[in-house]
Amino acid sequence: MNYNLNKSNNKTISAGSMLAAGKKMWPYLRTERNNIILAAVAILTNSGLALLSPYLIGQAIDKYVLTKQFDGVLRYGGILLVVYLIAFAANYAQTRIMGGVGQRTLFNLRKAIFEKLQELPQAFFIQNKAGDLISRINNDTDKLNQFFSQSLMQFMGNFFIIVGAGILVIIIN
Amino acid sequence: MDKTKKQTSIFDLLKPYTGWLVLMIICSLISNGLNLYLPKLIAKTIDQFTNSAYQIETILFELTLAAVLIFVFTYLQTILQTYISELAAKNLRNQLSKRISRQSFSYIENITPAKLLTNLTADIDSVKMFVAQGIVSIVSAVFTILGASILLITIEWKLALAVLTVIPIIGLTFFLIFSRVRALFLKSREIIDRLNKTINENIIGSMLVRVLYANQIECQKFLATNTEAKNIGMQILMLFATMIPIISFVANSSLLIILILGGHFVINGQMTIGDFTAFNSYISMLIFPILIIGFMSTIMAQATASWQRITEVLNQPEKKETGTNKSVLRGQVEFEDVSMQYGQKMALKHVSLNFSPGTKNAIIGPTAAGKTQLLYLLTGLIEPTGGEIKYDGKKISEYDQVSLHSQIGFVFQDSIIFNLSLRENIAFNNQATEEMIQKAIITSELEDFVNALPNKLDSMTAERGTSLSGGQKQRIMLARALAINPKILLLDDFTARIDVQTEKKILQNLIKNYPDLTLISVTQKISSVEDFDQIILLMEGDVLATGTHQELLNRSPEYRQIYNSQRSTNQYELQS
Repeated sequence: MNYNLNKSNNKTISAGSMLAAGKKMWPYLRTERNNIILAAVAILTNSGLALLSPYLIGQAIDKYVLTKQFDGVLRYGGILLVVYLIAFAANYAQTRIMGGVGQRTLFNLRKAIFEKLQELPQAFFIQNKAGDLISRINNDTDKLNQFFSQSLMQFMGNFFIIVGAGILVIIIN
Repeated sequence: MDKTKKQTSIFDLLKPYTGWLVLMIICSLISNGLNLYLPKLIAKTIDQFTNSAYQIETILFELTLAAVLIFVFTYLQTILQTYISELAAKNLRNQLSKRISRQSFSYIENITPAKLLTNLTADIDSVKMFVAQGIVSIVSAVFTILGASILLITIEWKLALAVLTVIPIIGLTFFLIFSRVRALFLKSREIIDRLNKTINENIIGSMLVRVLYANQIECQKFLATNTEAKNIGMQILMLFATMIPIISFVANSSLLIILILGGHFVINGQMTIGDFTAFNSYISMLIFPILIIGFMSTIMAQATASWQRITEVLNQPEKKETGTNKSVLRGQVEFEDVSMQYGQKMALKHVSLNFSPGTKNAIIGPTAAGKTQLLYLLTGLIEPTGGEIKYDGKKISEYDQVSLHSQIGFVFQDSIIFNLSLRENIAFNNQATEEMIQKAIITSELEDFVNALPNKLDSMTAERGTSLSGGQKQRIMLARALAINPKILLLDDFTARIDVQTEKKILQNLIKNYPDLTLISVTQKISSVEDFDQIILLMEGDVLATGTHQELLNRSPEYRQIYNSQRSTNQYELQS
């Protein structure tokens, strides 16, 4: 029986295997589904507001600054303030929820690996280096956490902004 | 590095790379400066266009040149930052592992290998991340903020000052949050150390955990640490979840200030609409670097915490210098009134012994007699609480430790086998010649074992020698000790895992192949050392008797008792 992780797993990482890895991750994320949806809503709100505010500013300038109506400017300022406050809340929710998902997933992953480690036969430990195993459990799981709490969120947010901005640019002209 | 200073800042790490860093920063400043210049260029184009003094060739040329230059310098800067960060990480890892291997044994025991492991992996990684991304981003962000601020002030200083109040607010938020985050990062690294330790123990002691059915306990231990790691992660997260929205809200409110105050100025006629739009485009330029600094500060906080941990190891004073005497030993060893205390207990009490060159000596005694301590003292790795140890009449501290160790062979109870070829495991000290290796292998009775291996001496051994039997490991350890052609050989319970026949053969080989060797063997079996030149009976740290086997039988009742009890068990074994 071959237990050597470095010999059995030396396939090169392609886009397909990344997707497969993503699928394997799903069981660890399933319990977090509601949270992920919530975070996605927060991200959408946040991105939407990020797109809305320049539009509002543009409107305020065109409609009121150019026509020298200061009360209109103030009204738009009030709307903007509300928008920014909502963005503040959405931003907080997004960081908080996604970070929480990351931390809990990290916790579960570490736990799963450690429990697996207890079940594995002795041959596994002979064929693998201790340093390699330790690094897998600690650093590699930490990288996953980083992905959840930072990269995934940023990716989603930026993706929405790019798409939204593209649409708005087309609408405006 | 300044050793008197207790805490070194992370920037000390960068000192050796100043030249490269300056180059990298220049590259990023040029591309950033060009980026700032672009709106101006476009503004000029628009002006020329409206004034119908439009010259497409020069404009096109200037724009293309700017674009190409930005591309080239950004490219250079990226290459440089990768190069510098990898170089810094490599040097740090080298420094660390060098420092660790030179540290005293007790230091490593104290600091735990798990922590050193996190030092070498996670800590270095976060420092590398800082060097790769942090420096350039922060420098160029600060530069952009300064540049944009100056431009804003030149356009309309009153509005600019109102808008720029956001910068100190953001600075204060950073300061407040990071003073807390840094402590948390340090704490989280400590927890990671403990996680590492539990995992480490469970991997190395996997067999024991299974045999003792300790899985449940180990899982609970891991769960507790893992939960702690999660909680601290959550605490850090909470701080960031508060900080990020505050900063983006403050940045956003600068837009609000511009709209209302700027709108007011425009309506009053204090400001033109053109300036107003320029203001808006520069402010968006200002906000992005602020967000970058926010993001980079995470990396920087982490890197600072990691760097602090790394310097703790690097600045640890090395064990004190050894002596300078490098003379060749004759093989005489002497204990002069040596005492050794472990906590409250005396492991050795005023021991005085003499081992003549070329003699075969045995130290016999029950468990906890202080036999192993005696051998450890001979290595010079630990120091006696009182008394002196002398080689050839000179104190151990006078000798150069490297030279001393190259003349003494140690075989400890723990066999440390490295994940290398058998040859490398035996010729661990690279002074060993092929001839010396062969002699060591023959003496250790490893010849048959080696010849049976598919690749002979070049076969690989598993990490910690899990694929070898206890006796094989012990014999490899002996061969390693002999490969340096030692003047003195110290054996710690070497015979415990080797059968009587092999043991006899090995002893005969030793006498034949290494006639000048002074042998000091700690053992519990009298039968294997009966014909030795000197036998020392040690009990609870006291030397009860010294002499040959016959002398001790006549003189020492304790020795006689041990001898008789061992003989009877031997007979019992034979009968059954």
